[in-house]
Amino acid sequence: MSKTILIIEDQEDNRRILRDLLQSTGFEILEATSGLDGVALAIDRQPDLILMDLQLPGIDGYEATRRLRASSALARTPIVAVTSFALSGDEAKAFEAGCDAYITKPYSPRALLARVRELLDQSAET
Amino acid sequence: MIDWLPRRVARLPVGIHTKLLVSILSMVVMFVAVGAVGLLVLRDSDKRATELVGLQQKIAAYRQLQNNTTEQLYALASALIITDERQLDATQRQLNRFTYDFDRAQFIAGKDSALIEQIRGAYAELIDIGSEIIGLIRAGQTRDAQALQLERVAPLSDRLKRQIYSLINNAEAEMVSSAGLSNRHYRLSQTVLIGVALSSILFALIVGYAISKSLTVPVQQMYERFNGIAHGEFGERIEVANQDELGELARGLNHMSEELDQLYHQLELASEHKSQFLANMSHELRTPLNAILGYTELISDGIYGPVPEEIQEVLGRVVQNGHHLLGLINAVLDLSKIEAGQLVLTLDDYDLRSLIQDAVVAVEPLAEEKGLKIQVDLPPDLPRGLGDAQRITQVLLNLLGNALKFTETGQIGVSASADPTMFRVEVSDTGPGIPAEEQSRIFEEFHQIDNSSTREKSGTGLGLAIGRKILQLHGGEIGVKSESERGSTFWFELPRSVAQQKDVA
Repeated sequence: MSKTILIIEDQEDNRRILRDLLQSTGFEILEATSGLDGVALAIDRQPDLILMDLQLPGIDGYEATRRLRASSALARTPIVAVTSFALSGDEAKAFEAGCDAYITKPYSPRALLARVRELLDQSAET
Repeated sequence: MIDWLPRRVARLPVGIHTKLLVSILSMVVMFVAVGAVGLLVLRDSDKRATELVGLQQKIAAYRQLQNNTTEQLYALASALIITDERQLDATQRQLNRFTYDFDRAQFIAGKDSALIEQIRGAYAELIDIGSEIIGLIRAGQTRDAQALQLERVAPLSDRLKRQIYSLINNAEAEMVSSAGLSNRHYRLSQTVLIGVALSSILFALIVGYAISKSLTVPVQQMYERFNGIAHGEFGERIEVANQDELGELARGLNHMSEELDQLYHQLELASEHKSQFLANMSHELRTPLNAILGYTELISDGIYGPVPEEIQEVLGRVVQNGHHLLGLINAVLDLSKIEAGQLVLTLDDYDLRSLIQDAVVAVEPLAEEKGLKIQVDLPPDLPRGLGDAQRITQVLLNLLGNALKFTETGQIGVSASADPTMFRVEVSDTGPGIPAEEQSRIFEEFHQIDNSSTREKSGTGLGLAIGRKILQLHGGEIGVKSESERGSTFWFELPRSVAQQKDVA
């Protein structure tokens, strides 16, 4: 059974790149364009991994991550922070909110795919 | 009083020139007063000395009178014993000399003149009797002369002697009292003179202190304020009591200080805005760049269908240029973060040996492509350090990248050493070298050697500037030794243990 990945990203192109990349390698994709929608969709569909943009309209990625972690069903789901706002301290803030990985834009799709597989393998083991 | 008086002087609403003039004039007046009092005292004591000399003369004259009287009486007595004509003539002359004695005594007698008149009367009598006696002796009536002598001269001479004694005594008493008076006057004058002189000195000291303090205190305050400004402490004020030129100066200084403070804050704000703008810009630039690079990589990976060879090659150029643009954006972000004080070092334990080896491995493909060899010379016992390993790697990659970029033939050398406190790393190349006049400028932002052969090299011109800032944050430094056509050796030194990041202005 193919794994499901939730993409929470407000920017159309970035969302499409992730979708095209991940669909082409056989993942099932869910998409949300705001923090609140993303949290609702995650609770409803229980994805295997979440790609979280940190700059989102409404509640931001940090807050969305905290809300996801508050749900017991999603407490262990890998969450990857994706951001282009690479200021120092952001990474620490992301980990503090509950993210498992931190990827800055622009990322290489190949590298991102490798990181996603790695995290899914880890969560399958535990 | 210590502070009160100078402050009062400072507050006087007149110029320094006037203050100095008035104080000097007042001292001159005091000086003249001391001189005048001294002159008065001198004149007084001169008068008293003259008086004493007059008294002494008077006493001398009276004594002369006494002497002459004794001689005359003696002559008169002798005339009775030695009845010789010459003796009688001499006695007669003696008696006549009284007139001169009296004239002199009268001249200096002053208030004693009544007594002198009495004595003159007695003498006149004595002369008459003397003449009578001499007449009797000449007439041979010696017995009658002797009787006259005994009867008249003896009592008269006693009276004369008493009167002259009293004359001398009076004069002597006068002299003693005059001397005592003179003494008392002298002491009084001395006290007055010393008093006036001392009060002038005290006055001069107080005026001098007040004036000089009223000038030096604000000057000192202003000096300290200037020092403060030189050290970047703007906006502070000084309170100066002076209403004179120094007060004007202090007001000007306060005004300047305020202006500088405002300007400084405006500049600070502008700099902050600039840094914030750059940070935002680089974020905004990354978003579309991410899409460009992402799509290109997906196309290149054949996700949207097979890609012919010639298009693959073009896609490679797109990716290459995209990454170059990304490098520029990252460098601008780094610089703006450093300038805004937002670049925080992540201090951790690191192994310099492996940082260098990893950096060399990362640039090795580029070296192989250009046919260059990288010679690595690391001591086996290089100790571990404490600092931001990621940022140190960034500096190493920049230096290695530059060395490879500018070297066409020869080799790149990397070496490291450690002393008790510092690491020293050197990256040498056999490239074209850097002219001496360029060597200090290459660490400035956006500076690349203006030279057609190096212009072709891609680069942000920010790498060395960022490297220098990273080393400064670590408390270290970076530099270069180079000669044109002889290659360059870039070096940096950083403390082995960086407990806290340094401020970078």
